[in-house]
Formats: sequence, structure tokens, C-alpha cells
Amino acid sequence: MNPIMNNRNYLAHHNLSDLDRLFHAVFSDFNTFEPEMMSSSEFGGPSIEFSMTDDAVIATLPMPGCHPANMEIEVVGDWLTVRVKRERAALEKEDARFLRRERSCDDFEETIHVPAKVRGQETTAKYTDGVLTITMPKEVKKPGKHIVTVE
Amino acid sequence: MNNNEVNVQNTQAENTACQNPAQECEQKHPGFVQMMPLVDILECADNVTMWFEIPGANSSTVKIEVKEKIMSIEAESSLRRNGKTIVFKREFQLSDRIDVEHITAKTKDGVLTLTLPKSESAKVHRIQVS
Repeated sequence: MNPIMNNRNYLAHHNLSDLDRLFHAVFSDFNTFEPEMMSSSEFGGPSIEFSMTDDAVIATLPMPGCHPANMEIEVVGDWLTVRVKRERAALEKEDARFLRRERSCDDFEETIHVPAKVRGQETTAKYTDGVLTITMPKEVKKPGKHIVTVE
Repeated sequence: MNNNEVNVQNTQAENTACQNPAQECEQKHPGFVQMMPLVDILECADNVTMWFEIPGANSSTVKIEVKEKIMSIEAESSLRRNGKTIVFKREFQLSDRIDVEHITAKTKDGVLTLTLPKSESAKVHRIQVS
């Protein structure tokens, strides 16, 4: 986890909440009740998480509403860098206005240490349902189990 | 406030009883952790569009329900947190000026897009003065 990135996202969303409060104070008819729920932003914005299988290290990054063409992934040694460009849709109609804007359109960049030696050249990535999944085969496979019988 | 505005209000209908909704979710659905999806809401002359971020969820795992003007969105994600499946959940109170019968929804790349048409009486009718 990159604390700088997380902190930046956290602050970005909290500034928005202030705007929301102002908005609701002006338009009291809204009578909006902010649910005291954990939101995606309270988890610190998007961050890369690792899981391990016997053969590979799998990194997942929730990044909804993006396009694979705007994603850059680099594996250098045992460091993984992910860059994602995000664009905010422009207003198509003149009379349109946002009542609420919580989604971030900040570009994402994170460099993180991979928790095992991996083969960068064989790394694959796919983007499904707004989740980027990067599969990095491990450099050394886990030794197989050998059962030795005692005679 | 302009009479033609169509409100889509957050509601806490289900969460007033419990201070910690994550805990509540845990009691209701063990093995799940509840998260509030981030949303953008855009109002146009004819409709209101809502975009929810629901990474890891798709059309087969999203449930949308409107009951007594309260619209509930629930989406089970393939993502996990601390070994538990993430469920995105959020509720909104709809104004009378939303045509509930004709709400449409689609999902793409972890974003749920809802289009809520305004009822005929709520649409802006501009009259040209000749």
C-alpha cells in the first residue's frame, strides 16, 4: 500500500463531503441523510492487493470505468508499477448539472514491492468488471512434495 | 429551490438502527463485508443519470429494487477484503417526479449506470416567446 496515494484519495473525497454538506445546507429541501457507512474512499481509495498461488503472485486493483488502453504496467525486478489514466466525462448537454460527484478522476500511479521473485517477461494482465488483475509467475516454483517411505 | 428539480436523496432507511453498518451486514450475511459505492448523479432536463462504482460486480450480481420510493442497489463483488466478499450497497429516496416504471440500468467495466426518466410533469418545457 502506498500511503501517499491513499492519503491523497482520502483527502480528495473528504473535501467533496464538505462540498456536499454546503450543498445540502443551501438546498435544505434535499434533507439528505449521509449514511454512516464505510465507503470505498474510507478504505483509502484504490490500492493494489496481492494474493499468492503455488505458481504465481496475483495483484488486483479495483479501477472501475477505465479502458485497458489507458493502463501501463511495468515489472522491474520484484517491483510492480501500475499507471492508469482516468478521464472525467464532459457534460454533453448545456442544461445538465451534477447533483453529486463522488467518483475520483485522478490518475493513478503506484509502485509496490512484489512479495516474491517473479518472471516479469511472462506477466499477464486482464481487465474484467472494472478490476485489473495482474498475474506474475513466480521465479522459483514451490518445491513439490516428496513422500519418503521408511524401509 | 426550483420546482422542476428532481431529487434523488440518500436514505438511511435500513441503517438507522445500527451505528456500524459493516457489523450489521456481518450479522445479516456472515462472510460478507458491506461497502458504500461512490456515485455521480447528473440531472438533465428529461432524466437523472447515476453512475455507481461497483468493481468486481456485473449484471448478474447486481440487484436493484424500488419499494415505496426507496431505491436499493446491492451488488456482490468478486473482490474480497479480509477473506470476506465485498457487497456494495446504497439506498436513495426517489422524488415523486421520477418515472419509476421506466428506470433503466446497465453495467460496464465495474460501473453501474442507472437512467431515471423524469415524469412528464417534471420535465422542463420551454416556451418560445414569439
